[in-house]
Amino acid sequence: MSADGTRELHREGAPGGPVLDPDAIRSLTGMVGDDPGALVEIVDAFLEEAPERLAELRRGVVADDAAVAGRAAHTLKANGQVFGAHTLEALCRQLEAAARAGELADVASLVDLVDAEWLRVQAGLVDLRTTCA
Amino acid sequence: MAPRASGVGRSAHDVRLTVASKSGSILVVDDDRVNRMLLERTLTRSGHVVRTAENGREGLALLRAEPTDVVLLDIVMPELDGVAVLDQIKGDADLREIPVIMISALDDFASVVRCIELGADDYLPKPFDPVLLEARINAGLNKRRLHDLERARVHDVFARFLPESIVDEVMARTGGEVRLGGVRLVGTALFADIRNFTSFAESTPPGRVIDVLNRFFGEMGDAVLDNGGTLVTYLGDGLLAVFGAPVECGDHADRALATAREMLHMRLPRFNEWLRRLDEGEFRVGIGVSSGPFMSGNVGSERRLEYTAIGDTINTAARIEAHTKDVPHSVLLSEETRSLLADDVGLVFVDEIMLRGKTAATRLWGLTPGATSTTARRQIA
Repeated sequence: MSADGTRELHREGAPGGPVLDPDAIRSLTGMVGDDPGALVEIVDAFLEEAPERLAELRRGVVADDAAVAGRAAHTLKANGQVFGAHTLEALCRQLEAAARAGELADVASLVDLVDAEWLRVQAGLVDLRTTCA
Repeated sequence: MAPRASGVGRSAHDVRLTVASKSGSILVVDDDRVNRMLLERTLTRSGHVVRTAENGREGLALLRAEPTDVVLLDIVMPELDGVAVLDQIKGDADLREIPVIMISALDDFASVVRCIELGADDYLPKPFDPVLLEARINAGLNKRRLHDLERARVHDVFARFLPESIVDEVMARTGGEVRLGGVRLVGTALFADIRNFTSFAESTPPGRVIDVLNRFFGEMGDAVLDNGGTLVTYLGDGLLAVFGAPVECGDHADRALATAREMLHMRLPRFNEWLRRLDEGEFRVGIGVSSGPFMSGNVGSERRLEYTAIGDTINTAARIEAHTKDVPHSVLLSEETRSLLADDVGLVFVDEIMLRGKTAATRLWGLTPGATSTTARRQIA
């Protein structure tokens, strides 16, 4: 990884910044004790878990199952926060709030946006992993 | 530093040894794998022993299986969410003292408030700040250690007069408080004292007198505790024990008789053997046993606390014990005690006496001849 641990993370996507916030990555790097191996493990965990959560999210929204959709959105939101994926986090926050309010039908279209945003985050994570490994 | 999952079985000494340590056994319960890994990594780096569970059910199973000092508990989880897990922890006497820190997103403040109301100790916002995490964990560990110290202190107080096997039960009843509420129940009282001890004490150096008394009380006190009795007090050269209090039991009379037999046939000979080696001759004992209702509980202050038993049954046991001086029997039981025995084989009717304050004579029973053969009147040198 580069000196500030953020090289190659400036993959522009959403207006206003990189897909993964360099400050969040710096703080994550500090949290694991500047251990690239540990960081890779956590990146891999997110890369493995997110597709399952996305599938649950879609299933929950389609079935109007607020509990399932809300939990999936909640976890994706929290993981998005950890990696500074602010757009993913914001979208999931809306979905979680809608699930809690029982208004999932109104936000079904957000699921497509989440999927699209995940592809960008996934690419950012793969880049991050490459710089760590 | 953790006690058993049940929160018991550790002495004050063990607890004090671990107070200086800042590490603890932490259980992380979170369905979010990324967060679980981050918490585990961060806490392990701080020197803690970390176990993880990915849902509430698994978390509860781990809590019940292994000692835990602090629980980090996510709120939003499948199967059993954090609120339900917290509710079970606080409803379980063995787990409720373990500090619980809820993990929650800041936008779920209502759930945090609900958890605090349910008894959670603190909460940690997600994504967590490592410094805040460490502070929360340390506060939880300190709370746990203080609780363990207090529990060990109360345990030590009760263990002075109760058998180890029922200390935990009594502590569960008192909610960890050192006070035992007064209760009236039916049980059996046993008085035991050394015959002719006053003349021995007057002609013996004080150091030797105290040694002999301690040896006697050690033997006889253990006989009481080993038979599930409660050692109420030492009175000069005698002791008072009760059976069936503070925890009721159906076989209190049998336990008291077993204790009397053990005192006479095993403890006294061993005590006398020890005396002979000191060239102090032998003693005999008098043991009076009576059953019926009495009151018992703790009296005194936090600094000087004693267990006491009060009532006619206790007085009767003392008077029956005094009567052993007038008959060739070291052990005398009241008719009430005999009537409660599951098996009265080996008893013999001895006497019928009028006790002060009684309108009818009290029938007394002793152990069949031979029972006193191992004792001999102290030979004054």
